Amino acid sequence: MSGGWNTIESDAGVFTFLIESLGCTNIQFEELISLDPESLQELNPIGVIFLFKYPTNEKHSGDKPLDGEFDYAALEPPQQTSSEEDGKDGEQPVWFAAQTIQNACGTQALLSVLLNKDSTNAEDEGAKVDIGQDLRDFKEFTAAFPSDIRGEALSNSDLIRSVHNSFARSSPFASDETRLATGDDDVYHFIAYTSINSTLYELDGLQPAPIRHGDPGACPAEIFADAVVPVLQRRIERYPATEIRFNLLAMCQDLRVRAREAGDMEGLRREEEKRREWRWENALRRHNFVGFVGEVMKGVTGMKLKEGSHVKWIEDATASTKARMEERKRKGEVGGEVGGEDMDIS
Amino acid sequence: MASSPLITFKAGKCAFASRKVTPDPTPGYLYLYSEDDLLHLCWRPRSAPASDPEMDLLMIPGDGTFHPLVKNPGSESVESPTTGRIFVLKFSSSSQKYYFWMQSAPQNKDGKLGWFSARDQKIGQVIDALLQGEEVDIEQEAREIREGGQGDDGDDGGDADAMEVDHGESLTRQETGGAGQDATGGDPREEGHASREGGADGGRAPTDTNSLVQNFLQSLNQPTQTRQQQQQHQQDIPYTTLPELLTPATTLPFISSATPDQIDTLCSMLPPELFLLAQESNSTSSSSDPNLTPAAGEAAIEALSLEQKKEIIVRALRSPQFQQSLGSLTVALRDGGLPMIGEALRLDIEHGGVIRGGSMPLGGGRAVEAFVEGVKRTVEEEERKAKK
Repeated sequence: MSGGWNTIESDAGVFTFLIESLGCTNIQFEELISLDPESLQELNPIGVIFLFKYPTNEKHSGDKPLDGEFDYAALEPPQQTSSEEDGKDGEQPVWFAAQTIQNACGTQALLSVLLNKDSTNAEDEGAKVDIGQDLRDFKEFTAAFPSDIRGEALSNSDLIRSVHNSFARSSPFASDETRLATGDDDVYHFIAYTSINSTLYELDGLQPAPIRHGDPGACPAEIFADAVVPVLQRRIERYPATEIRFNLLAMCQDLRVRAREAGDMEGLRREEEKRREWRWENALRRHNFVGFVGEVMKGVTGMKLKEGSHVKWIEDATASTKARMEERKRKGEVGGEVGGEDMDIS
Repeated sequence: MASSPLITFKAGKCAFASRKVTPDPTPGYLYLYSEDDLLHLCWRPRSAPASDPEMDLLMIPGDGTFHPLVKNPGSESVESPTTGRIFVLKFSSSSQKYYFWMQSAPQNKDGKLGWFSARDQKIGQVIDALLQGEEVDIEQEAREIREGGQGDDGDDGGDADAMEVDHGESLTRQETGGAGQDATGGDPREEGHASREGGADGGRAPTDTNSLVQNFLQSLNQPTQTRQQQQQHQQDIPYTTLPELLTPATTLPFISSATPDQIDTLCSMLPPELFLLAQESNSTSSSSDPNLTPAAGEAAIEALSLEQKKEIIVRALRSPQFQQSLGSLTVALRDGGLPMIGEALRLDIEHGGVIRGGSMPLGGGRAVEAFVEGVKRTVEEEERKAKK
């Protein structure tokens, strides 16, 4: 059993700062608004994180995943390199971990891409990622473990957990996204897609093994963006058309670096602006607002008293709360009598 | 029930068969009350009215004992040999035993679910003392439990989660004997984090109570979806919430008419990073991280014009993070956090936020009302003082 993992948002800024805090440089996340092959190609991603509502009544795949093939061989710990493998130019084993903690699954998904991109072979020099010493150590430490023990190691890692938690919302109340599964309710789940050993893999900690899409060797890193789009489309089509609650984050090189290298000053300015936005949001996210709320309350109260509208202010707000409660009752979301209130944070 | 309970805490029943204790997931309260000089020990589901406990035992002083079920008696660490914190009620007059499991958030930093914190132990000790017929200063003990509860390393602030305001609450979360896979056992931010940003606690309020409140908010880390207000001796009132009181439509006019002093005070309550970022976007480069000492923050605030400061405050007021914090603060007030929050903000809350004549914090809509009225009273007092 490990310490607590809090919920974090699936937000490009949060994830980017999270991996930077873990020591991984030059990689960022970009939110994909649409599943458009061109924009994905533009980004030249090293992986994609797909976040979706996970139906708890969906049957676990059992023998076969709903799409693709389980690649149990990829789970094998590294063997002695045979001459055959040398011929494959130093194929690396797939780092895959079973998910043990629901709240950690976002971090787990992005680590499952990163730890497979720390390539020391010459295969794709351009795709090599500097994951930092701490993550390299973690990868080495867990290299020989079976996937369930790797998952335990991840959930027990003080470093990873504390960095993860440092991006938790200051509100203790999770949004819809992390409502606990009680049968009817769904939870949100993160899975990763990436190219490893020129093969397209889906890495889902709740499945028994990495899932291979397409033939082994058929997806070198350069065509990953093309190859992954139809796979994602098929995934999205599994859900009812009304279900639009999913999120796609691409992992790519730091776009500021790319802009600078290309001499694209306008692009650089845009990316810098985006980073400032992210830092702004992150500062607020971690902030303890109690003192600020107190001052705002006092200030507004003073203003309302001067205007003689203090009572009306409260009455209006109370009426609005009542109307909202009645609306929800009508929709059948709340049981209980008047005075029974559902704290709707969203 | 004729009189108010002496002590109440969130607990569940257990079944006991062939040496195995099986917790019943129903959220409930275990409580003691005294009537006609006789002590009753009761248990009821939280959804049931207080007048209808499922279990109501008449306790002869000295007959019953109430202790944690421990795996290593005499060891320093008090821990149940299970995935939950179990108390056992025994009698000298019979071999009957009852087992209860604590349903409040576990406080062990390492996530050990059977570990009793000092707060947890205190609750058991108070109940045991009452069962012996000892004189217990409940108010004092309740305050200690609420405010002084020690977490793993003593920095766990007031935690009203265990010591409960006696109104019915239903949790939709299934709490089993363990706290489940998603239990969060510790304060998520007490460990040093590797973030590039120094001083994650951007809050400027220097009072210790401010971090107490933060800890309290984090201790409420059980997602709940519905709460039914069934005040036992106090009918709850429908009231409103902080998000609905402090909408941008209300707060923005205040900002535009605020004095420079008020604006500066508000700025000091926001993370310094916001002001450094504002400065940065005035300049061209931002590739290196700014130095985030409080001094740098103050300097940044001073460098900005009144208009710029107002803009930043307005942006913060409109942010989803602020809205969320209003929501969670509302829930904290409703859940018994009023006394602590009132103290942290130095507000003049009626009776310090406890139910008159008792020690239990106000809850539900009444707590939010008391908060709003307390702010009003404080503002009026400050005005009066300023005029002198």
